[in-house]
Amino acid sequence: SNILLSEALKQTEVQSKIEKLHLAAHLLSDSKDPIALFQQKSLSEAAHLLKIQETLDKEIADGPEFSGLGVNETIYRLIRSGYGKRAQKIQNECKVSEKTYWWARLRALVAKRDWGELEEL
Amino acid sequence: MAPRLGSEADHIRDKARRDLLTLLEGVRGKKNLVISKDLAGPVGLFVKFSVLQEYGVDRIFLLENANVDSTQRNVIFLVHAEKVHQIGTTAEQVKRLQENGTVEHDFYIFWVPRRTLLSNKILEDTGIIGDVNIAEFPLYFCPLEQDVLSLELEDSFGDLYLHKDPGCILLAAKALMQIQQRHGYFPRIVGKGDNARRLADLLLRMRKELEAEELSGLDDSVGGLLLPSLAIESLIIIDREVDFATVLLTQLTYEGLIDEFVGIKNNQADVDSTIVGAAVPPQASQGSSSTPQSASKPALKRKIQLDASDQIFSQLRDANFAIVGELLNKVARRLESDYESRHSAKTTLELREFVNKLPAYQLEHQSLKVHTNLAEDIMRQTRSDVFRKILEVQQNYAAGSDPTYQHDTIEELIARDVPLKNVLRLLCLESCMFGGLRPRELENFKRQILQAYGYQHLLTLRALEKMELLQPRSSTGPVVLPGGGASVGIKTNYNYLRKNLRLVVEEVSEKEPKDISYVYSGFAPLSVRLVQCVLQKPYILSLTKGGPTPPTVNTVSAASPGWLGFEDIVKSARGSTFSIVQKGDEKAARARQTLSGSGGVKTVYIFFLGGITFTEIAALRFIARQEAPQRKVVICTTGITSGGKMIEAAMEKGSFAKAA
Repeated sequence: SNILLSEALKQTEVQSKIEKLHLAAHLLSDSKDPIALFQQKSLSEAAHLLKIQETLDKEIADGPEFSGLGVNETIYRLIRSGYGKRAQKIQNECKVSEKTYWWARLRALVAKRDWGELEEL
Repeated sequence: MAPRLGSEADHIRDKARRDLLTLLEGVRGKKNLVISKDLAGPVGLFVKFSVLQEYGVDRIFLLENANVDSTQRNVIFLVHAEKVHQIGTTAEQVKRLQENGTVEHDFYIFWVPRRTLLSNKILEDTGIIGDVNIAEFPLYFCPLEQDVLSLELEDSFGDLYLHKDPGCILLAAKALMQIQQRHGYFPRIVGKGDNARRLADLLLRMRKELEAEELSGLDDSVGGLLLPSLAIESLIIIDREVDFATVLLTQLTYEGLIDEFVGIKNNQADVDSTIVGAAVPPQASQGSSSTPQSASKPALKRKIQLDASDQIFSQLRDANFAIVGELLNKVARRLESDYESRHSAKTTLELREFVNKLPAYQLEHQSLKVHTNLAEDIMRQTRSDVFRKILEVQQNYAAGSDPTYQHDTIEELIARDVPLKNVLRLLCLESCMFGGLRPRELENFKRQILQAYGYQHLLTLRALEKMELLQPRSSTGPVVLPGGGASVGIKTNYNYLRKNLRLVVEEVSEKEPKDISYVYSGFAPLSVRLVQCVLQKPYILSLTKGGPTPPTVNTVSAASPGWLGFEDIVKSARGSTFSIVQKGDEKAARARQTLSGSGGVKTVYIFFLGGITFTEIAALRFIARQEAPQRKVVICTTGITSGGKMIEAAMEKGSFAKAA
């Protein structure tokens, strides 16, 4: 599945990346080894994230801005551009811890110079 | 050939230069030289561009740039024959030149360090083996300093532990054989670690092969070489695997910190010119220390030569960073008073003396400026909040306090988007020091890392696991070392060693260090402690027993073979332990001993397989200074490494972003 993962990295189209990831995850689906289980879960998460980012790219950004970023970075950028609701949705979907979310939020608000909202925290 | 002691580095440098120039001489007329990137640096260490020009080299190209033109009839390639893709590129470029060049070319390929089967095969497959002249350029050790020899294999760490490629062990063995052939055999080989064992076995086998050759009369070299050397005391091989943790700690000596923040390659650092000021044209009188690269590089980065030719740097390099500022201050004051001395010059003679010294002063002044700026910049970075947090976590780990207390800090670091390299370094450090992380916590961290830095790092994490840097505590996977039996410790038990070798020393004095632990402000690198177990037994004993520290032990500890006295302790470090005596023909040995008298100062070679950090070099130099009356220490390694480089070997470079 690691080979498939590196292949997925090389793909240029988002759709084919997701396909490869699913394939890689599928490969492990029969395994009971805890390490493999973790791997499988992460792979599907990766695919899921790519899908979310794809829609974000379509709806918010003009070009490919979000796809390929890490979860935290995605949240960070969303807040910076003022999409707090969406950021919170991702936090829930990807099970990001409170603490991480707050750090991302803090950094984003500082970058945005949104002192008003900062004071509300 | 009477081996002159202490000139090993010079000898190697001379030999490499001679070999290369002879090869170049063998090519008639003007020529273009194509050199691979990882060789350009080492070659620059022993030969200057102007010298190459004298030997008919017209222009130099980097292999990676693939921009060789057909201005000269002769084209020479200087390439590593161990790396597949480099051979491939070479073959490609030869073909390209053959096809579109209007001029007919003569091709020469000098394989470094030897011609390999693989290279032959690739050239055959591309169908050009008949069109090129092939020669070997046996470059093994590159002398970085008088006491440091390095193979300068950048990838050796990844090769050895990630890809399990023993290629660099072979190269190391060959390099050590060269020393043996010059000085005679290492009377004793002491070592720790499985790969070290392999290296020693290779050395023994090569010796046998050589003997067999000589007996059958194939080799016409002198038979006297088969004796164990009188000038060498022993060879100590330490496998990097034994002590990963030391590398993972942030280095705290001046040279180490430069390496952490800027990176040092072949004794040179690329420093932002905003920090050290734009490159000044080298002084006409003393410009020899600057290399050809420094002139041709764009002004954004400036190459700084970092070696013993810089007096100020050689004072600073091994000092703990905490006192660097003070040292610089002292140098500045001295320099000032030197300048002032011109006022006191009365006679013309005195004045002339001063003028004669002026270029030296100016040079010193310049280097002082560079190092002050550099130190200031490093100071700024070490004062940052993140750096201090990282350091705090490291120190706590090193001291052996409960790792779970640090997890909060690490989580915070991840959330704050600190470079992944640093986070992984901390986690790996914990894993190394405490024999793995608890499975649940490990999984938790993994998830956070993936979310923060992207899912491509699944591959990174996998690679780290393969290198046994990051593991769950009770490893369930099939991670059993191939060579190590059940009796040998699979992992290094730091908890045990910390106590028994006194790895942690409180009350360190960074100013007047008494123990090697000063290099990490209180933590003594295990690898170097192991070396001390062989060389400075009484000292270690007094340390662990807590007795009064005797002043440098004067009894010549010739009666301290190998690990004797420390077998039990050493056992709890990872990998096999061995101590081999190489005996020669006794009668001949005795005869020679009576001829040359008792040895006097002997040399100890210390080989770090898989890389060494500048900090460890500093610690070893500290030992060398203590041992100076009895022994000389020469440090050999496959390459200079650091925690960052270690993690980078495992890092997945690609990402899901389209731009990449």
